[in-house]
Amino acid sequence: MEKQDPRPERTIPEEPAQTGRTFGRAAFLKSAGAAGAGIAFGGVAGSAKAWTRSSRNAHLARNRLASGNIGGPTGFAGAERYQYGADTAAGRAILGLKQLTNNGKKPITLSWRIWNGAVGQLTVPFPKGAPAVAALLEKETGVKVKFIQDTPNNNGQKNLQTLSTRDGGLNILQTQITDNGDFAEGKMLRNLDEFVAKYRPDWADPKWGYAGGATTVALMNKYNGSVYSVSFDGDYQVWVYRVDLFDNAQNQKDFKAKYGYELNDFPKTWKEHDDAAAFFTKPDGSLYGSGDLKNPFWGYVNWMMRYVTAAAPNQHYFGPAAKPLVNSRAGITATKEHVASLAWTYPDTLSKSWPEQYAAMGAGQLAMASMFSNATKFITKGSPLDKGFGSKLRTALAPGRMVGGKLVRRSVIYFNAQFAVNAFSNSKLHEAAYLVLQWAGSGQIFSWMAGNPAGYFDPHGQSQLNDPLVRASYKPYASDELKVIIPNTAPPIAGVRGANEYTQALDTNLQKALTKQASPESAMAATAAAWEKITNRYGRAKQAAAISAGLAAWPTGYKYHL
Amino acid sequence: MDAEIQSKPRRLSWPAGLGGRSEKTVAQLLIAPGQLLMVFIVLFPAAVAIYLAFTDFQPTSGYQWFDAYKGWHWFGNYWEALKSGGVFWTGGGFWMAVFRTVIVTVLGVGVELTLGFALALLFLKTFPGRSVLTVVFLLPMMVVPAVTGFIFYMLFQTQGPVNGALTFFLHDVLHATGHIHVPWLSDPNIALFAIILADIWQWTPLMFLILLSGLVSLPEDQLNAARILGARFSDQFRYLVLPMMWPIILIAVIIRAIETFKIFDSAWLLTTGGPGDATTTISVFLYRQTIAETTRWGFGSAVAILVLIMVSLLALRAIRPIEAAQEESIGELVGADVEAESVSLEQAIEAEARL
Repeated sequence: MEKQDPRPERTIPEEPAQTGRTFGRAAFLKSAGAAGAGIAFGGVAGSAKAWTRSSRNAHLARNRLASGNIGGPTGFAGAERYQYGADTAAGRAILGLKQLTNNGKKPITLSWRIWNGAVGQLTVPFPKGAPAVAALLEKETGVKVKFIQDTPNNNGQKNLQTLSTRDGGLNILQTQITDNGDFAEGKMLRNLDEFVAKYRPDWADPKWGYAGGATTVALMNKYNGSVYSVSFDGDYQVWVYRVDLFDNAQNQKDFKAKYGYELNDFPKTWKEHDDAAAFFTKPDGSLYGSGDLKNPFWGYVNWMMRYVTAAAPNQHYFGPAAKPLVNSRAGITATKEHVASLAWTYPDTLSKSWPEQYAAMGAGQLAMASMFSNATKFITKGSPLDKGFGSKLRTALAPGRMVGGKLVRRSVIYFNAQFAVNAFSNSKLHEAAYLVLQWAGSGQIFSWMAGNPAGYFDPHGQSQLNDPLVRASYKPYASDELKVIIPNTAPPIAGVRGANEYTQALDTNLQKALTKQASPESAMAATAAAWEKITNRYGRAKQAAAISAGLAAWPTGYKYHL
Repeated sequence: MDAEIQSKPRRLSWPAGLGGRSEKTVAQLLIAPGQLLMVFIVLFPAAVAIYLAFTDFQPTSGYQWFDAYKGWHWFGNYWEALKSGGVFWTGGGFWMAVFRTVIVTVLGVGVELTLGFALALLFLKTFPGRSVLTVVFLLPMMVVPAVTGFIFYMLFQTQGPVNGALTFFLHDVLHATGHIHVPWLSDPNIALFAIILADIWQWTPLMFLILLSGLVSLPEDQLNAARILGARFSDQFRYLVLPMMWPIILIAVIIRAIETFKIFDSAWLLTTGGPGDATTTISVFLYRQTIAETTRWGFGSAVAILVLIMVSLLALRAIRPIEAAQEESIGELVGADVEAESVSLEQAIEAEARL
């Protein structure tokens, strides 16, 4: 089941959907007037557009596929970047779909449940002159997609309804990486290994695939070694900081005088982070050192970032035989640090969430904070993230720890938007549903989609982070930093049945530690006890096997800078 | 015409073609669809819940609910619930959830009763604008509980209106420096009271409405007699109003207690049961166990049945004084020496007519 966020703070500050434009009376009159004027002046100047040879060639070039390509968008400058040949993942998917529809003579309609704030990336044409993604799919293959929109808040319950009633009405379901274990074991998700072997997606391709390659594929798409979902998002946690504070000569001098070492451009270790956060925090509340969230449901990932760096290459949540490791010294230390970090954030941080954090960062009230990777996308005129300090923000990988002479720095990803094939739906359409996901999630098509501001699916692939439209939207510095962050991202508790239960037990006990209801030691002991109960309930051997398979999703590298 | 009216209503004869079935059989056949529907609506879900409570069924188990016997658990879920308590006040087990629910019910309904009664007494007398004010006082209970939760979520923000008002009125009294920041929703010792306050705001009007309607229906001659004989207001209230209002008060308290015992919307929206488990009432506990955090439908069913038993016992116990009050009032009507149980309707009507 997906974690529910029933509170107002559940509103993730991601870009609002632009699922369509309203066409009011004023707009109608304006356009009608313009059209009328066009007709009048056209009559004077001549009814045909005056083509020059070069403009005609450019027009034709924009509206045809580049040499060697079999499909992809046309109609705008640079469209060839998103076109594909027959021997690409997108091309294989399209050819497969054409075969299934007999070249469009036997059209297929697929129902696709999708978050309402994201659907625009598939239905709104982008950029000017381009078709919409879904329209292109229908044109090329005869596969029509019917989008069933849903809110992120409701999606978990809708999936639970689908699961409990074995409802096959929808072909494609929206899930999250933390759901894969439960929904796969519940037999709601179709095992996609057969199709993956047949059509060879590009997820691990160095050029077109996910940043992080096979490790990211294991994190995003797999449960117990098999593929069950396809990633369409990148909920990576990115540290955003005010570069002007770190570059300030007086700050550098004062910091060195107080702590005895240089103020880095961004802290590389948690110790440096904590010192910098304490240094920047002003008693009058005009500036807080670090605004990483502590609130229920969202705050635990900041604990995880501290926890997973306690060992090299990673401090895992579970040991052999699914034994909890959170009650170790690593867990207790991370909890103590997490509690101590309350000192340099705004009051009552437990009841604050993303909207407050984004607004505070944009208003210059935070020196640092862990945010979604879309933070830089929102530095747009008039947005909460551009209240005077937007241009001073930079991004970085989370700090880490020196372990055995190695600096271990890890981000942690949240739930992430995934799509899966509904196993209860008409089995004859499973292959088509998978192929649509392979095509839309391919390097070419998702790069095109990720740059579209009409939805909030974030980039996660190499080609996307190199794409000019995406880079313009997310800012070049942030796109480059994401190439470093993604391969160094550790999983949350995922890839195991009951992932949300384990996470909730941890979150509840972290809340108790933060509010002094429990000491860090007893909070971690209670978490470990709760985890043991969950593991026993689901079967230790089965859980241990899934956890073991999930080790493939953990990063092992230590490369942090380009 | 008169003769028609005076004559006994003519008995309808069954039309021919009913296959010689008796009137009773035909009646039973006619109501059977309705009865079956009722059985389906009421009994079927109850039976499913009882069945699932004996299993460790989760929808993620890989089989459907009717195959839940594959995870037969006997009384394991009940036992797990009954033995789970946790640390006093902050624990996350079943009994602590029950304890918090009782706190919310006792404090919430207690304050609602007191305020509602006081307001009802105030509104007994006519004054300019009374009808408008009555409507205004009733508005909160017309608000959707989820909206109430959201309203109070905004009010209880640390920099919200409640703390703003506290700062304005109590700044000097408390010798506070700067803005008063009461962490209403994130302090485990306070958050439950924030939920109670929201409940009081929303449901005091219902208490007010029930009690006001009771007060206006009290026999004025007795109150006038007491007044003429020089009884003080406190004596009138103690010896006349309160005894006569007792059944109505009980009904109001029972209705509100049962409703408050199931409190969910505002509790969930304000704190989602936290921080930690500090505001996890029984409904929130159930929701967390069955949907929000895990999908333990077997365990959730067992807890729901335990709650149903508790609320039923509470209701039965609470209804007893009402029955006693009814018996007493009828007994008074027909004479103290007549046992209430033996009073017939005719006797009661005759006694009332005598009065």
